[in-house]
Amino acid sequence: MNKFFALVRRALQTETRLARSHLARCFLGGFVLWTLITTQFQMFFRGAPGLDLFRSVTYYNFFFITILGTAFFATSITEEKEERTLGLLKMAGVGAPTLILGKWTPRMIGAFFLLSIQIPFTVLAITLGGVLWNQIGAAYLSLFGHLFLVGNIGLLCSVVMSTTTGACGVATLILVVYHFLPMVLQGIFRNSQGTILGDIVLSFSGKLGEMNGFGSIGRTMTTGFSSSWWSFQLLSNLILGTVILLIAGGVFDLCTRNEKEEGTLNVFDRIRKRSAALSNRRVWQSAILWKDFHFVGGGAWFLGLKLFLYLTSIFLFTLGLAPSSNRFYEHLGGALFGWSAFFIVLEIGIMSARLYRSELSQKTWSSLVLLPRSSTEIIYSKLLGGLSVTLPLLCCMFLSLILIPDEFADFLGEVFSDSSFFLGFSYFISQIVLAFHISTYLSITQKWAHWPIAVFLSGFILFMANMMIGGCLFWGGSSGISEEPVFFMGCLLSGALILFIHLRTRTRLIALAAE
Amino acid sequence: MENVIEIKNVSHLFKQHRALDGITFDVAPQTLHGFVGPNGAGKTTTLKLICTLLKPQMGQTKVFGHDVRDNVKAIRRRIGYMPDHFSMYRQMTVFEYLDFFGAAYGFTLKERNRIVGDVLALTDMDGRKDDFIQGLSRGMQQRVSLARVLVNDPDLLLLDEPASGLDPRARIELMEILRELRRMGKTIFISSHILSELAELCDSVTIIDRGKTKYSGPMEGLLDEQTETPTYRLRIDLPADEVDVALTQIRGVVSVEPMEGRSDVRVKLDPGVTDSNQFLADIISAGLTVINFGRDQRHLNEAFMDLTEQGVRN
Repeated sequence: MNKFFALVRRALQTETRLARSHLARCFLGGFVLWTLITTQFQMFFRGAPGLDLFRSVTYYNFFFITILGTAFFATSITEEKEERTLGLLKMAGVGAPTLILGKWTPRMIGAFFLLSIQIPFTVLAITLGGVLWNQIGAAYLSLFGHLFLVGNIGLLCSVVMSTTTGACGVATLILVVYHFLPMVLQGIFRNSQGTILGDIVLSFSGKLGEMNGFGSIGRTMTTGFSSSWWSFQLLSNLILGTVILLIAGGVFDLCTRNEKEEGTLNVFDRIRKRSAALSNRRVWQSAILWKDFHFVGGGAWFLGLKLFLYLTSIFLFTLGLAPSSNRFYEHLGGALFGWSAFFIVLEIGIMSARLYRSELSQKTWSSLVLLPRSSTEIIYSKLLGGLSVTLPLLCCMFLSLILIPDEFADFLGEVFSDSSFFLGFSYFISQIVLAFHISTYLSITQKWAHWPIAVFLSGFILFMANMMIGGCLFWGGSSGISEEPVFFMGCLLSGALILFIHLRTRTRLIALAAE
Repeated sequence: MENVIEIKNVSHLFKQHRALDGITFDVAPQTLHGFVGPNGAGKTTTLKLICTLLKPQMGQTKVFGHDVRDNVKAIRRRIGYMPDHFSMYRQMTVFEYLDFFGAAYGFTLKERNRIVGDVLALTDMDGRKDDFIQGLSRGMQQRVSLARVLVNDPDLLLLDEPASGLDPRARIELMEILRELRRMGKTIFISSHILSELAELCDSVTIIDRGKTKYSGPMEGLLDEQTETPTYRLRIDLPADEVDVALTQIRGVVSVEPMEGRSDVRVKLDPGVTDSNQFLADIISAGLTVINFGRDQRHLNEAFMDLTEQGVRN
């Protein structure tokens, strides 16, 4: 028991000394306060301002837990693996249960602190009106269930994977599947209702959807909610979380038997290694481009495989939605375009957070910068090579243009003929580019900003910033003014920010070569 | 010939910490120059200044006559820098890794075939060229690192702790490669903590401590103790307890001191009475058999301990 308390005490002491944990609490507390102020301004226009406030705060918490909670728990065991201290702890007689609970408990305490600082503000929601104690209790229990599940998924990944980046990546993938699988399954099997397989899959996806904290919070926030604090989501999250925690304990010794050497290849690297061994490839004259085409993009085989998987998935998805429609190819074209656009944003976001960070973590960046080329050339050659990740999706998009050329031409015509739409579209694109920049900058400046965190945090920051700006404009009484100047100013501001972060990233990359 | 590296009164600060405090030294062409100092003395900072990764804040740093502030590309073309840590693309094969740097330096495919073949042969890695770097031993990885540094045929090699973490065989093999490179006319600037090997290998040395130059010049000058009475090491074919008595009877001998753990003695001579030739002749005339005789030099360890201060730098 002493060993457990020693681990918890050490973790809490470290946590207390870190400025970032206090900043995170301040940030969340400040954000709740800001939401409270905006709600107070808007209370005369709204029927249930207290409920609106509480709903917003609960959703922010949900996203905060999903994004940062994953990273927070995914580092628990991998940090010891990366510091190579796990072996020392084992030699000191610290067993798997002590180690897991000793790492898990302080993280749970940290997460409780994060949630508890906002309770006084959320209680104020009752005075604003429209929300009941019942809803507050049920929502916080939903959040706790979600945190318990997310934390234990992160912990299991941390036990199984050898690096924090790998653990964060796998945990994020599991959470993405967990949140979107019900939607995808319902889309594919919507027309198979009545068949045995269709009914089983639809019932499974329905239960999976009920387990989701996001949906549960939505149900809690309905006006007149009077159900019990205990919900299916809470119970299922607690049960599944406990099972995952037990699995983590069970596989701990198996997964941590041997400490891996620095730079150990992961599964994808090993697949690439095999394909490289077969292809006897030669470096192109544009060496950096070649390197990132192969090691970030995955090389021709991997990109081809991705293209096949994207095409097959989108085809099956469309087939599930509109199997007998005589406009199947139009649906397919639309799905190809929409999904390609979505995944291009996601893939570029992931690539931008990995591209330079991998050079820094492998300590190869200084060797590259020392080449007799300008730093600008090196940085942009890497970016160009990294952008090869989008090639399969660009092919999908091109295919969609062949399938629905008229719709695309109409869309372009609409964008360019309507100045308000054009500026709105430009603002949207500028926000995406800004998110890429933030994620790249975070990935090279913050040790904890592994790619899943960098990508989702940059999206979250921008979402919040837009909400705040929107709120400020609303209070400022600008609801009557035209959208065009607002979007125009937004584009200018985003452009200036992009330029600033772009130049800061370049300067930082050059400085990092000497560190 | 113009010095390859000229450093004059260079200082460098990292926030409040003064990493270099007016260091000055030169490195002559086609020499093997050792760079020694305790941890935190400023060795890696100096190397990063020379290889243009850092910009000097004060003083002058010239490489091949170019100021490192002004002519970065010209300097980078002629240097090869091997950092104190492994910085390799472990997912590549040895050949790919070298081929990649060959292409990055702008060599054509034909040139790369020749260059990569040459550096693989020089580092004795041609048998492992299709192996993935990840699977190589530390010594092998260090060889690949060295091969990478040689891809652009640099005139100046900057090696930061190249032998750290290597086993004795790998270290000896690495030193052999460095000797071969010096024979090929390269200038090698090597930072290391393995003083015995540096003493054997280097023509000249710079010792720095707490950001200041403590010595810079030929290795001989550092190891020869500057005393008024010349000192020699001698081993004669006599039992240890009789050596002292036998030698004190020789003309001009000031003192005889047994060397710890060895059967040699350290003999101090009066330069006004005798010299090394006369001393040897007198010993032989006295019927003693000389097994070993030579000038007594300080070991680099001793010189290093004399010149550097005790304790950890703040």
